[in-house]
Amino acid sequence: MTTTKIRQKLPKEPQQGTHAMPGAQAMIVDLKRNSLDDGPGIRTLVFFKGCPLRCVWCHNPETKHAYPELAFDAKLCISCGDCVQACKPGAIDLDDPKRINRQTCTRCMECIDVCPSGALKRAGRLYTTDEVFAEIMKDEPFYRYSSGGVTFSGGEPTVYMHFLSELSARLKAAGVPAAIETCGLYNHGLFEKLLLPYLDMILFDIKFIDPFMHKKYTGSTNTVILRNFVKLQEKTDIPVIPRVPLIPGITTTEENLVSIANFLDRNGIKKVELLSYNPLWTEKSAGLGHELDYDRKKFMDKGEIVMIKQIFKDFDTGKF
Amino acid sequence: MKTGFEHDREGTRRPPILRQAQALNYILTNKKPLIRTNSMLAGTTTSRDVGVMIYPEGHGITLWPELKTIATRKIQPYDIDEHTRELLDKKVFPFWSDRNVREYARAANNSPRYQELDEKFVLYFMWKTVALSHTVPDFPRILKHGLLPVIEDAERRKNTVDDERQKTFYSATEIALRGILHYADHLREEALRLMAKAQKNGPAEHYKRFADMLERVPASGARTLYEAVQSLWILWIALHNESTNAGLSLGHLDLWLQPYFESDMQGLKTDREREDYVKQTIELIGNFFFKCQDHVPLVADIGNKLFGGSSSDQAITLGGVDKNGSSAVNDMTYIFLKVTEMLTIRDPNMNARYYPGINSDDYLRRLVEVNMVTSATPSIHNDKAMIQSLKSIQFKEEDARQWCATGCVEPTIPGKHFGHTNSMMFNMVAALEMSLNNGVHPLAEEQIGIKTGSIEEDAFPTFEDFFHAFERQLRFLAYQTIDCNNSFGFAHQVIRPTPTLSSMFEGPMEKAKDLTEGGAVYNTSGVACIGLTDIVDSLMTIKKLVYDEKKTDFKTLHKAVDNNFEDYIKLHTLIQNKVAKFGSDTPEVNRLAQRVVDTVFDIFYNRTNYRGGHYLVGFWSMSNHVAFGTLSGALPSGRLRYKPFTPGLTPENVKGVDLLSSIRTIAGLKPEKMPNNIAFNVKVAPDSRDTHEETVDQITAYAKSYFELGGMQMQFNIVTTETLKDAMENPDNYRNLLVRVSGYNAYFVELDKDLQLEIVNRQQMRV
Repeated sequence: MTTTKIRQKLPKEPQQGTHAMPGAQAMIVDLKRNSLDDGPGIRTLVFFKGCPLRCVWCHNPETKHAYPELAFDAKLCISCGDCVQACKPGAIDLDDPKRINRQTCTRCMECIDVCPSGALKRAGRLYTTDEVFAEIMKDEPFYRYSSGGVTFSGGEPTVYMHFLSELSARLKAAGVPAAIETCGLYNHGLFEKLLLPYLDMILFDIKFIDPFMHKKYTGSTNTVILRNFVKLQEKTDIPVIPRVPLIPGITTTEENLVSIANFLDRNGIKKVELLSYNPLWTEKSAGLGHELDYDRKKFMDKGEIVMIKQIFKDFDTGKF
Repeated sequence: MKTGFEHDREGTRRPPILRQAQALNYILTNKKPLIRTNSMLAGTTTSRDVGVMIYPEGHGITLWPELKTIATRKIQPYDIDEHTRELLDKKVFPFWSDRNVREYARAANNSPRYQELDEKFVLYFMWKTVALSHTVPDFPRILKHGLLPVIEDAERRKNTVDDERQKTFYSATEIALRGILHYADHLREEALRLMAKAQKNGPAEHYKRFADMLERVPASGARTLYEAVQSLWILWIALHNESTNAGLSLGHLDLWLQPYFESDMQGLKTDREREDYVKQTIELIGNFFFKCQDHVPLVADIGNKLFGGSSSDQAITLGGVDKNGSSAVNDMTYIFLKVTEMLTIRDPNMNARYYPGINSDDYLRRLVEVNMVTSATPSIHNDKAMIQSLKSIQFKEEDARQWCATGCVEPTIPGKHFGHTNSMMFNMVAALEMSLNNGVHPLAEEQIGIKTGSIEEDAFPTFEDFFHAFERQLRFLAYQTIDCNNSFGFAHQVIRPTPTLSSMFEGPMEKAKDLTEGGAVYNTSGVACIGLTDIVDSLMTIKKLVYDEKKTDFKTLHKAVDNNFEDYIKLHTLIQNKVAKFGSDTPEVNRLAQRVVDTVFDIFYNRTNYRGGHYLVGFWSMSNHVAFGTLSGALPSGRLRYKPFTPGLTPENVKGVDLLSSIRTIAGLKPEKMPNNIAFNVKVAPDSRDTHEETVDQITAYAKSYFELGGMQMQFNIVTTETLKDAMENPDNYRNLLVRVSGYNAYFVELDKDLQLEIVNRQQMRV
């Protein structure tokens, strides 16, 4: 079976910012509460599904595509075989270590209902703003007393610009601070108009300065991204914190990190978040049937960390 | 050991209260007065510096078969000399073998079934076989005025009543209290003797101070903080010589001692003097804490499983509001917290009340910080929720505001409320097991309960039918415990009246009625219900899988439970993953949990105890969740055979249950149905990258949110699982590692292994 054929079966990827209108729904993988790492205080993270980039190291592979996927976790499977019975197209094979033939699978998700262990899971479903708002508000006192709030993450949240606008406006009215984690590839005009008034913090990914490297590893150049970043510096007083994913051998080359440091310095920025590499994503990716283009199984070593610290020695790098 | 108090010189049998008063007077009068060189407080609970209290009329006799092994047992060994061993073995225990609460009740009621069931250990544990001292006396009155006015009052009343029984009551009060004065007098003589022997200017001054203080207290009112604490300590010794050291509690000590602190302060002129005084006060309270550990409860080996590592749980209460509803947090509050933090010891059991909106954020933050430093204390209570709960069951608002923690967490209105707050530990899971087996308890292999229908004969067409069966078994079992408790209560009236304790309450003096007879203003009995999480998760499994979704049938589920889920892996996996659990804040599960709570509340509340009061339920477990767990089969919740139940009122460590959903679930339960309080355990592991300040802020935010949402009580273990595992392997490095079990503190390395593992396996919340 060829790739073209698979592509044909997949739903169309959304075009950023344009498809979602007020009252619309968003494809969301998960709401993770009690998060203490993505912004201040106790936070709820909303993982939007869908992203314009295709980073080879993507730590949240389940959020790349904007359509529901079938995820399989081999560690949980007890091999009871109920899913084989339930699968009409016959896409599940207990003897296959990957378990699912992604070419045959129609993502009808019927196997999920019979799976007793949760090894088969649905990644992504549509939510209304009402639903997400209600879920977030359950933890309202925790945000209030810890100076926490909500962080929109993904995937790329700005894919659902209108949905996000409506949701964050409601949160603002309810006194819940909202932060966004973005890859930076969005339409600035829409962002400024629809989102910026309701946000309290922007965590902005800076991966490469060299556009060719960016294109090579994320599938897209960074011209718009870096321009958006600079524009934000002019347009807003809320914290815009650059975040650099440290991917050994890719973003952690001395050349790249030095040019990022210089870029930030030029823009008068003194604070940067450095995100340590976490190899656990590779299992998640395999469970979705994605092909891996990058595969490093170990965490970063001391030598790498020392070198990185040296490059950013003039910056506030928080807990790194 | 004298045995002559049952009859007077003419050979007439003495009324029980008089016998008890004479005996206490004798003990206190002949008690060796001990003053340690390095202690700031005179007197000791036992005849040693540190000793085990033996109450042969209570549970002392349980030690009889273990006398030879007690010095060498692995957990909590007691030194015992040959002479004492002989004395206990040949004289004391034989004499008391039928003069104790348990045996008296058995004989009086013709070996009743409920007592037979009690001795199976599977269903309930009755604390009255040990003590009924889970209460708090009116110390402020005695500290302020002394014992003499009480004695005078007793004399006056004796002379004005005609009734012989009433006269006896007042005589007993007087005799008992005079014993305390004798003891204080002997301590004063000892101080003078030591003073004469000691060097001038040094130790002599130290002893002179004792002699001066003891000339005044506890006979008269205290004038200084030091006198007040010395007075309190002697009263405490006396009470522990009258009744078992199990859960008798010290009360709202910051509030009660603050007037003495303030008056001392007023006499000081310079900042330097005031600073020194604060330091001395910290040392004095520290001394008092150490003194409270000069006696340990007598625990037979089985007890190390049932309430492993527990001290006598002398609860001290801090903060909250006073009887007018204003903040009670004061200087002494912070002094007590400082001492708690510096000493990190298991007893006194520290309990802090926090009234959202009235007590300050800084105070709550300080409570969290002390928890962080000590890793496990104080436990924190929501004053608003507790007061609301007590008010809803007819406690006056002014009284409810004065509540003090008793033993573990339970509320007592000091000096008014004789509530034996831990009268029993009730295994609710046994009722569930019996409802699954038509009244047969699977491990006892015996028809214990009533016949409520067999699953194999399709007795339960709907979930409601099954719930009804469970409710009937629960009621059956509860009534057994109630009958049992009442029979032991009547035995206490004969075996162990409490003239000293009664004199420190409102009610007994006015009514000439001992506390055991119902002399107090409030006369409830407290119940600790164990296994709510296991029950709710089990009922939810049955409801969902058998009735709602029909993923299995009841017979299959029952078979799987009987087989401990061996050969039923798929069903077991399904239960673990596809049934919403208690603690996940799922509306349907919350409703079911509230329904079980309401059911057990009603069953108990509607019965009357032997003093005419209600039974009040609470949800905490000491360490009985482990003990009862080891005596129970597998459950529909997926819990395997012999595994511990979940502690107190704490969700199971499972999928779908996180810290925030647990907090919301527990906070959502109605306090008015849990008036005997709860124990909600939270084990948190600070992120090593966070600063002390950040971690304290973080945990404070959780606590504050929980209380705002209406949660009643919260207790922390701030320690990582790794540390606990290391402590299991290298206990010598962790002798002082404090943990909170369920309601009380213990040293981790002194716990039974099953209990250690239960704590290790608790869900760890990273903050």
